[in-house]
Amino acid sequence: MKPKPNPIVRRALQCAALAAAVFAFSGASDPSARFSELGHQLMCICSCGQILLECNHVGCPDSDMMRNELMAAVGRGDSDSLVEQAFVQKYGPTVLAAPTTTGFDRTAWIMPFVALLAGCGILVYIVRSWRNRPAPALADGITPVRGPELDQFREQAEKETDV
Amino acid sequence: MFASFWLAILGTFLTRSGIISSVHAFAQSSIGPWFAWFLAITFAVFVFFFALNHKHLRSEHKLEAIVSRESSFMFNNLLFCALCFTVLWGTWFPKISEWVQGNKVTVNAPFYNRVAIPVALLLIILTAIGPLLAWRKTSFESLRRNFKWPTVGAVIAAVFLMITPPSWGGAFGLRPWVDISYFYSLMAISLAVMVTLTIASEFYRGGRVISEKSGQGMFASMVQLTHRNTRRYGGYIVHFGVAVVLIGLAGSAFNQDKEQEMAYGDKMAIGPYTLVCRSYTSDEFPNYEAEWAVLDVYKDGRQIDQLTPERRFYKASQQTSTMPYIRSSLKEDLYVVYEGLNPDNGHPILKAHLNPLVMWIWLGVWIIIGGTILALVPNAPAPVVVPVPARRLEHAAPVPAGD
Repeated sequence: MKPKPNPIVRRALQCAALAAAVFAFSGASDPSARFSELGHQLMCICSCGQILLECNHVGCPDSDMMRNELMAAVGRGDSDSLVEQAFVQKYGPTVLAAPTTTGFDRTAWIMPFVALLAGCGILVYIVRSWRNRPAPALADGITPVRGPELDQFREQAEKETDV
Repeated sequence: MFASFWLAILGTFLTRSGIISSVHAFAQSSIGPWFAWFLAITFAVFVFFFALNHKHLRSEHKLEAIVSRESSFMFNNLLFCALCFTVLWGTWFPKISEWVQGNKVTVNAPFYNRVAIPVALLLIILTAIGPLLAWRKTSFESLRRNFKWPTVGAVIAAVFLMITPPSWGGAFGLRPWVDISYFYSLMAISLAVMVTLTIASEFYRGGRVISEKSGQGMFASMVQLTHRNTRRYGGYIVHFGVAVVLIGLAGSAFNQDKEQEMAYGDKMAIGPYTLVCRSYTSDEFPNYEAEWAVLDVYKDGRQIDQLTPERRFYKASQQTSTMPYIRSSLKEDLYVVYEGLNPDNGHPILKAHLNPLVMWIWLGVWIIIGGTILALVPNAPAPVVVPVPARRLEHAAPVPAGD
């Protein structure tokens, strides 16, 4: 018979899952938070190469106008994608601070993690091949210490050095 | 080594040739093809020498266990390589997108924040775990025993930062559910605490062993421990410096700025500070014309400072330059810029930035420099007690310590 999970543990796991879901799916709802979030996803187009809300270009000819447009769009209650589309139509795709998650732009997001996974695979291969290597030959008269005796020496070293 | 050199030259080529738009792409000239040929030739030379010497370059190491310091170094290098690839990929992607889709895209901070920060956090976890791993093989029991207190400390730090009120300023009141950047900041600070406690425990445990054997005080034992193996303990101090820098970087989630036109007596509130405009004026000097404002800084209703941000116009070069005024403390930097005069009413426009924990970045850099210098100091010879005949003692020489 399958053992029944502890109800307290089950309830705790349910609460944790709910909290994680709320955290994951909650978005900025008040206008100032939305303005800040969207303003950090857009670029200033004055060629300063800075995020719109972080443009510290003294006397910037564009950032004030763009911020006002963003503020107006947020005030109207436009959705995030509508605001971004409006900016892309007016200023071109380079106004978005990061590639989108559609079409070829997806590769921008995927490739670093593919590279990391491939690196992990190579590393596991190297570790396995290094573990399977034969032990280096010892000089005559020296017998290698292995098994329980080696573990005993290790334990002793750990106790004496506390490492 | 080859890759580091080649990528450094590639970076210079990308910006100076104008392939990637950059502030460094100032010199539009025919240097691009020369650079490209240089890169091709150096690549060919690298491949040739690698092929020639690959037998000598082959490692002869044997790895005993996956949970060991050797493997932690390998994972550490893997994460650095992943970060390097992320930067290379992010730098090239606008160009690749132009070739494939026909239009450029921007790859800026939001991309790196989402892709590189998780990898960087893994790297910090390894920084904390690495010193706790023994060479060749580590038992899980030993890892659990050594990892317990740093983990408890990191959790306490995280909970403390979450429950404190945001009005305390700095990194207090970090609610990770409010914004993802707060979550990253909280993780970064907690992991920095974990790294710090790990390093402290390394010094403490090593010092205790020497103290028990020699009867010296704990501090003297830790100094002796460090002097016996300066590379190892200097390295730990460098790690501690990185943890301090990390705390400083985590403060960027709370950056604030405000721009305001200020007439006499006008006030600007930013964070815990209130700036009051006392006066503004202009003057002419032999080399430049200057405009500046005098601002009183109040905190908790008490004047604590007076700032004079300035803007200069240099006559010879016809260039304008701002002289911002910075008030630094361990908690935050108040940075005030004089932007210019409103032409309609002649009032100055001032911009104030409040950047928390910036001083920690500088402090961390100094600790890193100190640790590096310490690591360059030669090791002190370890006292060795060897039972030898009394008549041979006069010839006994000290044995230098190893790593």
